[in-house]
Amino acid sequence: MHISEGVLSPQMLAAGWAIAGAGTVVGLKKLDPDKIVRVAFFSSVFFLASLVNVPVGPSSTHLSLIAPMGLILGWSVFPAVLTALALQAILLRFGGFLALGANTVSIALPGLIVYLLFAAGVRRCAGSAAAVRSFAAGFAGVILSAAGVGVFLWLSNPAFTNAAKFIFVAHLPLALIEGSLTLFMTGFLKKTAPDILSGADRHSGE
Amino acid sequence: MWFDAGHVHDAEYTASPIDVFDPRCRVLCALLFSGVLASIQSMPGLLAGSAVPVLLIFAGSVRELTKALLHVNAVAVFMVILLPLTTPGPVTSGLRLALLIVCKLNLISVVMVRMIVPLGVGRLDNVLADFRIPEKMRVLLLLTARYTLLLMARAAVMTRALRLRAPDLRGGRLYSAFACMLGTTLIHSSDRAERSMLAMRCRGGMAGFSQRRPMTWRLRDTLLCVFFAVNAVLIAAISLSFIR
Repeated sequence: MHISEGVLSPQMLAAGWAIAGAGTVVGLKKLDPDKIVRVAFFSSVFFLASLVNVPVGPSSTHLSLIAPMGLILGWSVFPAVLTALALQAILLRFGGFLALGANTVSIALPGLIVYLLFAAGVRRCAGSAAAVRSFAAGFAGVILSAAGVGVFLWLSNPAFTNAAKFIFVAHLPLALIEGSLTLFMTGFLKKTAPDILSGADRHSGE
Repeated sequence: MWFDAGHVHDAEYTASPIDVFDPRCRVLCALLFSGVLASIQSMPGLLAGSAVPVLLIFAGSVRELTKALLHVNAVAVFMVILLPLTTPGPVTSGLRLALLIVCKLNLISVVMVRMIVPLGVGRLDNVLADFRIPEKMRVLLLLTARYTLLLMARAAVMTRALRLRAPDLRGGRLYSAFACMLGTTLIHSSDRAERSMLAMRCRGGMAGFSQRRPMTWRLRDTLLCVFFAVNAVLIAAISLSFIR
C-alpha cells in the first residue's frame, strides 16, 4: 500500500505533506501525554504488521492493521503512522521520505474515519452487533486506504487511472482478511483489556 | 503466515566520507535534491539529475547500497509490468512512463540511502530537535524504534510457536489463532510499556530523554548546500527547457 518515491507529482507530494502535517499537529495536540507510550507501542505494532505476510492465492500480501490502529488511537493515528512510516523508510527502505506525507494520509486518514464512524459502536455494542461493526471497520479501513492511494495516483497523472483501479481491486482480498482480523482482535480486546479500546486522545473514553 | 524481519537490522552504521558533513546539512540537501528529482518529467532532465546520485554511489559501501536498491526495485518490477498494460495509448508510452518512474525511484533512493538513512534514529532525533519539531513527536519516534525491536523479538517467538503447534491450520481458524496471538502479544507488551513509562517518570520524567549530541555547522556544510542548490537549479532549468 506504499506509494514509492518518484511516482507522485510534486503537487501531490506537497498536498500529502500538508494534510499529513495538519493531521499530525491535531493528533499531537489531542494526544494525552500519559498515553504516549501506548501510541508508540501501537506505532511499532503497525510497523511490524507490514512484516507479517499473509498468503493470498499464489501470492501473498501484508497486514496493515489500519482499523485496529484507528479504533485504538483515535486522532493519534496520524503521528503514530507518520512515525512508523519514517522508521520503515529508515530501516527497511519501504516507501520513502518524500512520499511519506502521501503514504501517511492514505493510511492514517482511513484510520481516523474508521475511528469516527465505528469506535463508539464497537465500544458500546456487544455480540453480533459489535462483530459486524468491527468487521465493517476493518474492511472499510483497507478499502478507504486503497481508494486514497488511487486518488493520489490519479491526481498525479491521469495515465495512472487504470493502475489505480487495478490496485483498488487487488486490495479486496486484503480488506476481507483485515475485516476478519479486526473482528477477532476487537472481540479479544473487549474481553481481556477493554480500556485499550478507549483511545489515546485527551478525555477519550471518559 | 510468516514474519519477515531479517533485513531490519541491515541499517547499521558504516563509515562514509559523507559523515564529515553536519546531519542538518545532509537532511536539507537530500530533501531539496530529491524534491527536484521527483519533479523531473523528461529524460534529459533525468540524465542531468543522475550526476550527483552517481557520485553518491561511491561514497560508501556499494554492496550495502545494492542490497537497499534491490529491495526498492522489487516494487519497481511490479510497476514496469503494470504500467504498460494499464496506461492509455500505445504500450511504449506506458513503458516510457514506467522507465521514468523507475529511474527517479532509484536516483531518489540513492540520495536518501546515502544522505539520511545512515544518520539512524538517534541522530535524526537531534536534527528534528534542531528543526523545532515538537518533543512529543520526537519521543514518539524514539519509543517506537525501541518497541519495534522489542516486539519484533516477541512476535517472532509467538509466530514460531503458532507454526510449530499448528502447522496445518488454514482459513478462519488460522486467522482466529493469529489474531488471539497478536492480542496476547499486544496486551503483554502494552502493559510492559506502560510499566516502563511509570519507571521513567520515577527517574525524572521525559526531561533529557532525548540525548542531544553537539552538531557544528562548518564552511564545508555551506559549500555542500551551495553545490546541491546549484545542481538542483541546473536540473530544473534543463528539465523545463525540454518540456517547452
